[in-house]
Amino acid sequence: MIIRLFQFGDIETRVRWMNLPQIYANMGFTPPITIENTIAWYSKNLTSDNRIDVTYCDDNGDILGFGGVTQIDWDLGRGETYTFISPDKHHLGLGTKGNQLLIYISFRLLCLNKLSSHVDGPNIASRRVREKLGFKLEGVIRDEKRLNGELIDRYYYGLLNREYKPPKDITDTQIRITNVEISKLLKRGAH
Amino acid sequence: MKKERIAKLRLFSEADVPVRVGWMNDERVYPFMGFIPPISIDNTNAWLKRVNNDSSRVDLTIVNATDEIVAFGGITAINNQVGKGEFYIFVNPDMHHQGYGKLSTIAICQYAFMVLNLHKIYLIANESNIPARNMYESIGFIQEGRMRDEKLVKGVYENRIYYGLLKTDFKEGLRLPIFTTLIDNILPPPTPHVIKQYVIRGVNSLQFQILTAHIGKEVAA
Repeated sequence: MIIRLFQFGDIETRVRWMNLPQIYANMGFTPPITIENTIAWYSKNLTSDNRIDVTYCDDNGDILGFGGVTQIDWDLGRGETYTFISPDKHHLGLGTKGNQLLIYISFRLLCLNKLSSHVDGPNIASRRVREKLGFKLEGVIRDEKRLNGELIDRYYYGLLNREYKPPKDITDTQIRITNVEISKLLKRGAH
Repeated sequence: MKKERIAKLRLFSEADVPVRVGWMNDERVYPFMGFIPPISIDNTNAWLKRVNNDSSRVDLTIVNATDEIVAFGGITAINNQVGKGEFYIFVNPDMHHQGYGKLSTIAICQYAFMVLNLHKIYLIANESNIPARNMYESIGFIQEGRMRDEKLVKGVYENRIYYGLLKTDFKEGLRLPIFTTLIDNILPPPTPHVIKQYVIRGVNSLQFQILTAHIGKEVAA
C-alpha cells in the first residue's frame, strides 16, 4: 500500500463511496454527497491550514481508501484522524495498514504530538482497530450522540508521539508525499 | 448567626459587561478559563450582540441576597437533538472560597435540566484544578475521560478531564420536589430567553428552593 495526498482526480471515487450506506453509516456523513459540493470542499482545503487529506492506493495506483488528519491545532500539535476503505475491500486489514501510514506521516513528517480519534460505541470493529494501532482509550463519553434515534456513547482514543512505535514493515517507498508538499503544509501551520 | 446564602439567576445583560470584562482580565480568573487577556469592553459588547441571537447558548448572571454579582455562568453548545450542553462558570475573584461557585453551579444545572430540558451537562476541566474538580464531583459530575496533553500551560502540556452530569446523576438532595413542581406549574414550554429571572434560596449546601420566578420578554429591573 502507498499513501499520497488526495487529488482532484479522486473526487469521483470518494463521492461514490460516501453515498453508500456501508460507508456513511460509520462516518457521520449525511448523504446525498454531490460532486459539486466535494469540488468546493477540495478547493477550500487547498488553502486550509488545519487539515491534510490522503488517498491510499495499491501498487498499481488503484484507490483502496481515503483518510486524513483534521482539526489540526498546530500550537498543541494535535489532530483527529479519519479513514474509510473501499466498500468491497473490507475485512482485509486495509484500514489498519492505511492508518499505520497516516500515523507515521503525522508523527514523523508533520511532527504532531497527539492524534485523537472518536468512535461510536456500537462500532466495535473500529474500536478494535484503534486499540490494535496502539491508541489508548481516554474516555467513554456517555450519551454523546444520537444514532438512528438512540443515544449512544462515544469512545475517545488518543495516541501520543512519545509512545508511538512505528511498525517495522513501513518503507520510504510507501510514502508518496514529497518534501515540498510537507513543507507547504508545515508553513501553513506556522502561519 | 449563620449567614443565608442565596443565588439568583438572571440573563446576562449589557449592564454586566464592565464587571465581566474586569474579571476576565483578572489573573485569578483567566488562567482557568482559557481567556486570553486583554479582553475589551467593545469586544464584549459585540460578543453580547452575537450571543443574544444565538439559541445554542444561555448566558446568566448570578447574584446574591444583596444583588452583588457572585458569578457568571451558562450553558453553551446546546444540542437539542442529543439534549446536551456545555457548562461554564467563573466566580467573582473577591468571593472565592465562600461556596458561591457550588451554589451557582447547582442553580445553573437545575435551570438546564428543568427549564432547558437538557438530558446531559458536560464540562472540561484542567487536571490540576483540584478545587473545581472536587466541587463538580460533589454535585454528581462523573469523570468520563482523561484527555492527555490537550492543553498547553506556559509551554507545558496538561491533561484535561471531561465531566458529564446526566439528569439522573444529579444528587438526590439537589432535586427538590418543590423546584420541579414550580417549574412545571408556572413556566411556559421551555425555550431559552423566555424565563428572565428566578430565585433560588440556599437552604444548606445541598438544598435550595425557588422563591420567585419572573417570566417575560424584558429583563426585570
